Amino acid sequence: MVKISPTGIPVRANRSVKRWLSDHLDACLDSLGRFVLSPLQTLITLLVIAVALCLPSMLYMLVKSVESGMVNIQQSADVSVYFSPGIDEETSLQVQSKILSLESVSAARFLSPDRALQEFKEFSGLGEALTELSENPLPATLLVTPDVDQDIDALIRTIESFEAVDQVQFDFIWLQRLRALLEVVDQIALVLAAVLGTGVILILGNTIRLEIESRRDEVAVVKLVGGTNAFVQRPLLYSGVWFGLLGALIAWFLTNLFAWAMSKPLDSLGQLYLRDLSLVGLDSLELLVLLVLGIFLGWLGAWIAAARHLSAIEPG
Amino acid sequence: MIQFDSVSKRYPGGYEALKNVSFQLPRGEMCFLTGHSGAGKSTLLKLIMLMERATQGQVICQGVNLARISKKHIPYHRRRIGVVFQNHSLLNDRTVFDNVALPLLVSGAPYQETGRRVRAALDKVGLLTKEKKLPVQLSGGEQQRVGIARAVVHKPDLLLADEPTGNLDPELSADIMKLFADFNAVGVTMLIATHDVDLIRRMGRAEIKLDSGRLAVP
Repeated sequence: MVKISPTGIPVRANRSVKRWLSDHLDACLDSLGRFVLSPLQTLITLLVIAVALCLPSMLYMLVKSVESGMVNIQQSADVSVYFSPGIDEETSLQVQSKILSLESVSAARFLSPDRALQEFKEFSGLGEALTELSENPLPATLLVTPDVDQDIDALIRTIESFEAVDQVQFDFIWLQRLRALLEVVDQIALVLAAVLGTGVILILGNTIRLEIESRRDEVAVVKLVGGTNAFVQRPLLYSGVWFGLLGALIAWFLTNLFAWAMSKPLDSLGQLYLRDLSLVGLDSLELLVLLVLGIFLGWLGAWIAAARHLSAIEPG
Repeated sequence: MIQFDSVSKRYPGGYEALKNVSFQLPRGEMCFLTGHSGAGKSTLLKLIMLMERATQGQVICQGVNLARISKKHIPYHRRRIGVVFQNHSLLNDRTVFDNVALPLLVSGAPYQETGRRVRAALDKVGLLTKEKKLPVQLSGGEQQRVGIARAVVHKPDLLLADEPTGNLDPELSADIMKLFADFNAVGVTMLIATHDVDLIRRMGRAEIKLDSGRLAVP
């Protein structure tokens, strides 16, 4: 409907939804078309945005991949509890049930000295040599599987306090240190994302400002024939959205390229630890988040630039 | 159509471009605004276009007191006015058609109507065959006519022109004035700033003369 201002001037054209959409489509395509006019400059800006977006997403991917690898490792990481020599099986089984009743423990398997020796023969490859031993040197053992994400140090201290227990061994202390380290890297990724995201806004703000400067005369003419700020601003906002979207797509490509490039060295590293190690690329939800983030930052940068510089341009 | 009541305009820095100017331009009139350079002709037109605001007095245009139009509503005020400049103010990276279509585009006129009206305007100024050309491919006189087509394409009631014949030879100037007279004949109110004295005499129209920012008796 045509709206009348308090002064009696009609202030709104009678535009249909279809026309509104087509106006936006025009501005959207027009701003994309302008990229072709200065391809090199556009490409450089896109790459800067892409690099800024892909650094945090690479770090994020690294943390995510290592974390998922760690869960696998920890699931098979048992705490070995060695009983003091001469402890009879009955006492051992009492300790086992005590340990099992602990909250942080999901399983505890009892190995008698004979059974432990047998397993040792099988896995160590020293089978024949061990038959030469006159007596079994191995103590009775409990293999305790802690729940994932439990404080293993506390668990070890508890078990050590049991009387019959001689020694508690856990080979995966490094896992916990790695976990702590990952938390730091996670924080760094967040801070980096915030800093670089601000960078993207500034870069785009500046790009759009230059665009406004180079179209100063055009803006003045459009305003003179009755173009509103919204009309002049529309293609600029779409420009920002395109920059953000395309930059995010390139960032996604770079991140996956990074995952691919890292797959071989990680494979070798994984083989050393008898584990499957691989970088898990961004899934479709994460890609979506990256794209939406890119679009939002691009739009925001363009909006800030337009708000600051567009209203200053007046005809005359 | 236009009414100035004791209007003064002082620019920041102290320069007083208009001093206590009062006049009325009735609807349907064609009037020349004359005076030497710096007499305040451009300032007077800028006040009507709301490119500047009066520091004193009031300007009433098409029944609206311009002081009451907020910054946000200025574009809608400008859409009711056509304006022609000495330097054409055309967009050089757009075709003649797109240049002329601009006022319709910004106001959201329907597309079918846009094509029809742009061609009608171009036909009126005799440039129908040049709609796909860029402004730089046209002569000065042709560029000025594109500017005029753009000023009338949305059928404004009021047409302002600031030295529209400033860069043209007498023959072309006469053509342009003939065009303006045609528009006036169909009811468009016109205010044309010029210092082309010969032209004004030949046209025999009303005249508002400015001298150092004051209204002078012509």
